[in-house]
Amino acid sequence: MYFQVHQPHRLKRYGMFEIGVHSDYFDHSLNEEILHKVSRKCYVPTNKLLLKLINEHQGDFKFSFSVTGTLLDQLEEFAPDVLETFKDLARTGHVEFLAETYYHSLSYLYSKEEFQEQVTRHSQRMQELFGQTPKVFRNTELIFNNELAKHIEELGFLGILAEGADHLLGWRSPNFMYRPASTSSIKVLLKNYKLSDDIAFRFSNKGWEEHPLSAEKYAQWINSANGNGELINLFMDYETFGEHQWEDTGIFQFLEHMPRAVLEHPHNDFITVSEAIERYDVRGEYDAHNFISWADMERDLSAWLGNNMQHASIQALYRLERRVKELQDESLINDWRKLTTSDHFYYMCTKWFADGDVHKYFNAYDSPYEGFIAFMNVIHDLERRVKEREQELVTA
Amino acid sequence: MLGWEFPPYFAGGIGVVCYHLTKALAQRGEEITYIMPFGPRNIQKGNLSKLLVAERIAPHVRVHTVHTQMHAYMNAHEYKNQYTSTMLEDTGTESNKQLYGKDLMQEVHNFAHRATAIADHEEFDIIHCHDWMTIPAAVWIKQRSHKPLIVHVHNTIYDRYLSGSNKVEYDIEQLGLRHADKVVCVSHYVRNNLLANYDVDPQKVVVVHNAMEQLSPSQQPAPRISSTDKIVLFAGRITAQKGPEYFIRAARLVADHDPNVKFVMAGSGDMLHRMIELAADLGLADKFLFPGYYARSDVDKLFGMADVFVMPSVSEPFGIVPLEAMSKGTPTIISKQSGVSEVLSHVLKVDFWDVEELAEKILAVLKYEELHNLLSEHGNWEAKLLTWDKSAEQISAIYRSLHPLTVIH
Repeated sequence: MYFQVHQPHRLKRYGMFEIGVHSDYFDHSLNEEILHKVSRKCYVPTNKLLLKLINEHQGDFKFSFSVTGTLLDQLEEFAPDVLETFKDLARTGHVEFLAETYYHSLSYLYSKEEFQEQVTRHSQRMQELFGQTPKVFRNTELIFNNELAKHIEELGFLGILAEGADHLLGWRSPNFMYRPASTSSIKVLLKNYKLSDDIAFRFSNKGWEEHPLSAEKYAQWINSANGNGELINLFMDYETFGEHQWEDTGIFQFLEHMPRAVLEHPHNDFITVSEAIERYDVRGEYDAHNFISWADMERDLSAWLGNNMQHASIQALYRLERRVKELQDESLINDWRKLTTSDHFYYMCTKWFADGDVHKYFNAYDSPYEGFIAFMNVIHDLERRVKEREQELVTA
Repeated sequence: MLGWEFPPYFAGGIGVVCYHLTKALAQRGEEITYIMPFGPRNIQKGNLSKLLVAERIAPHVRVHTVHTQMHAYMNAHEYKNQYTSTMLEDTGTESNKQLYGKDLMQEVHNFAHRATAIADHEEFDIIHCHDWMTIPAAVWIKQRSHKPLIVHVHNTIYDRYLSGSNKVEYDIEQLGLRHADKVVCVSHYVRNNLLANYDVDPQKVVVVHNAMEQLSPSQQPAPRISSTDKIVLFAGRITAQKGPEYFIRAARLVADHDPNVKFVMAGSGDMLHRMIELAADLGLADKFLFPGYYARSDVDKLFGMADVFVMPSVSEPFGIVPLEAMSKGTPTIISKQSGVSEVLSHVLKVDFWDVEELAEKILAVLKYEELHNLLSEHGNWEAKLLTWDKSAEQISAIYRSLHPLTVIH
């Protein structure tokens, strides 16, 4: 099991009339409020439960985390006691922390240099806080292709995570270890989206024929993969527990009982991603020429880069990269990097906006158009600051 | 159906709604006898019949016209002026004096008498009337025929005057609500207003949103006022309810930020002269164009030349104009205080009083090309999904619920 833990630095509805007046782009009070809410509903109770499960099962229950830098910064600032509970989990020795981009960004697509810097910085932070340097990488939203896998291999990682996409697997099962095409040593772990989404998306759906889902029933599904697979990768957002699936759905009782139910079968155990890489040999090649992700039915990039507002805003952002970095001004670089977080572009998604579905739930704005306006206004102010600093340097 | 004529010029949406709803209902196979107040402001006699023939629904719709001096958005004062001018034109022939009432209320009752006389000779299963002037007629017809009554509310007196001061009209609306078996509101905005300010059983009040006439594409390229300036458009009646003042105050902020913008305030109304003065007072005389009243045939040109359309209404029961702008591909900003905002996602929304936010959004649409293009493209698509057939389908279902034995032909 691997859980993705992330919160962005949300922007204010920064207006055009604010450009040049102030450069306080981020909505600190909203971010703090959401952090406290998610901590109360998810991080605190789920960390506590997982710690209990680790202690109870004495080494038979393990899992992996990927925690973004943007969340860790906010935890440090607003909820240091909650950060401690993540450290408690790390200290058990049964939790592995994965590498990703510090800002949960799409930087791989726009700047390899920025990508590498964010990955390095994130790995350092994992060492600082949790005492381990990640060996396995997961990219933002499981965005993946062969070239990325090769790049990650060259950076020295032993494994990478990806979506087990039907159109790439064909008849094959995600329940084996694969090698990304055009790589020589790195292994790819593929998400079993069916079993993952049974928990992450369908758990509380009363219209689902399997509702309510018991730990015992779920364990049977896991058992039925025996003989037809070697490992089952359950990848999901950590916020599934208590935030996407509310406490009253019974999600915590399910999580509490599921490990015992699964461990009843003698062939089953829980391991971390690095242990899986060590234990299982590659059984086939996973050939992702085009980018895939774990999002929506399309499993592509269209949630972040599906319309022209998204393209225009992300291009405007990366056009500023060189200039921002050359100025070596920490506050400019920090603001710029916080803007690389993929959520800002997700808020501008118009794919199914009219249907009021999942995209709307995660949207901090009234509409994708407002998300775009705020982001572009911020870009214009940032560019103004860059220009000012450049002129200061010329005159100095 | 007791409805209104498709207006010759754009005095308000009610005639438009009646026409398209009747057409869509007839196309679904409903048989409609349409009793229509017919006055001096209407298009030449027989035009509706011609429209019906053109739409190939004539066999399903029979139209009776009742001569009257009233029209859908009239108040007592306007009626007085209309009455006086008709009497002067006709040099007071005795027949006209007998034909038309001295004041609006008398005329509403005259209409009710004549409509009831027509209904006495007609076969029908349901009575469906639109807004207050036809209510007395509809209630009388119900009392004589014992058929179920639908009161279709497009706007309330309470909302139009932003107070309960028009006692007689209010009482007539209240009468209609009491006798109605079903009350259809054009938006939740109207429904909420109705429940808050009238005595009516919430159970019988439902919402059927208006839709959009599918305009045929323009043949001519839109005229440009200037090759360099962007154009921001207001179009509609220039009355307090439509919020023209907020548009002008936002324009001041926009002009401060971007000198290459022109503003067009199209339409006429009792606030027009004050708005011209306000624009001048704010130093916007050279930024503003007031083309005055526009005919429906000008709608294409107006929307075609605009870079953004704004409807800053203080209170808008529905608001069809934004749908027309969107169907022309014009990015649209509407106030949250409008019924139409309930059905639209691909527009920008503001509180009408938030002049600064309105200015921000106007500037954003003018400045960010991708925003402009996506609002245009998605807005166009969204407006075209709101068809009259969908509204008519819901109305048909209400007919069936009130008169389950009716057979659709």
